[in-house]
Amino acid sequence: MDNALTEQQISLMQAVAKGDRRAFEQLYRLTSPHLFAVALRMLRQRHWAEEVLHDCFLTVWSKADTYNATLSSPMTWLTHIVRNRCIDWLRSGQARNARHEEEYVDELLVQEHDEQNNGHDHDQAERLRHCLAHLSSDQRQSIALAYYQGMSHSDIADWLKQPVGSVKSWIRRAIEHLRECIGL
Amino acid sequence: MNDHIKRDDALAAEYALGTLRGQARLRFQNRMQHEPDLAARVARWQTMLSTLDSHLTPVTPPEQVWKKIVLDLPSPASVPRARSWLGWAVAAGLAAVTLTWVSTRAPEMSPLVVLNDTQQQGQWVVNADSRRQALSIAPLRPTPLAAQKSLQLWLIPRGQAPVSLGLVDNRSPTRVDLKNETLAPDAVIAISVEPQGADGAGSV
Repeated sequence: MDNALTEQQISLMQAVAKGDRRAFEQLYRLTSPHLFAVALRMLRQRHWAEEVLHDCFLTVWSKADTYNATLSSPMTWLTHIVRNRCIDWLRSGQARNARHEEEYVDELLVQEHDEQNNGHDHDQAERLRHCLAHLSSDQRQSIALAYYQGMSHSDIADWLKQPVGSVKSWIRRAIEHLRECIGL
Repeated sequence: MNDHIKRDDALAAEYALGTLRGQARLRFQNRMQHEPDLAARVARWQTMLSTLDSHLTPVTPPEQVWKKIVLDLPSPASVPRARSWLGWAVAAGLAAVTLTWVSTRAPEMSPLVVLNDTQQQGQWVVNADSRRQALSIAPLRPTPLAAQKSLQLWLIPRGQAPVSLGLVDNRSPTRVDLKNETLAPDAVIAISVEPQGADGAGSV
């Protein structure tokens, strides 16, 4: 992981928790391009992603003090806030028809030369990729649709034209495999 | 890993993945606030899954997003600059509600305002007596409260520093005598989460 970047983000989070607006802007400048990309990938509509980003940073301003640096990096914490908000957005139904026809599985197995510097742990990323490669394609595709597209069990079932029960058990088994393979 | 922990870990994974939905998601979020082990499990899965974003190409959002965020931040003018105030204002996670004055002719307590927290988990009804000298704060739903934390009631006269009105019970109604404080129609009442024993009596 890029420790210096993470350390900088942790200091900014702590300053934001104390109401420091300059630190808040710095945090925004540093992290919003990645978070915007996360929201764009899940929502696939620029103006929705912009609204979500706006809402999320207001949440960050008011909840920065609940961030716990011993649990996760600021980027992971921020990404979670964005993903949660996107999931709520998608659940509201207006986004359901906007999905693109794409093959998502390959996205999970993208090689490292595409790696960007987002402060993620390179070794962990490699390990996860390695473990994902051992999943069945149904399992991998279900994980990809859930994580990248924010799809629920039934969304995935609709998408893959498979029973919900199958999707649930693919995801359950995928999680079991990842837990053992990664050693969580 | 026993079955119970395995089940929790599976829930943590599905929560981080985003497939835990509806009531189950809310219940799980609630548990996380009280169970540090569960929060740690979720954080491990989130950290692991977030590496899936490592190849994502950053996209700089348009500048108007930032401008709108700045516009929508709570106005600095209405927030005293004292550090302790900012500390609790942020620590609160509980929305302060401006009192819109409700005429209270009856001598007994009448509902004045309802306080909601931002996560819709806690809710209080604030009652005031007709002479506006006493308040009663009744929880509609018990507020989940971490160990070593307590709830503190504040009165924030417009443009002034907040005044502590003491601690509030998160399960049963608390009566508060306003003593020298006046409930102006434009005052704000707020409840914050504070470390136990940190009752900041008096102004902060």
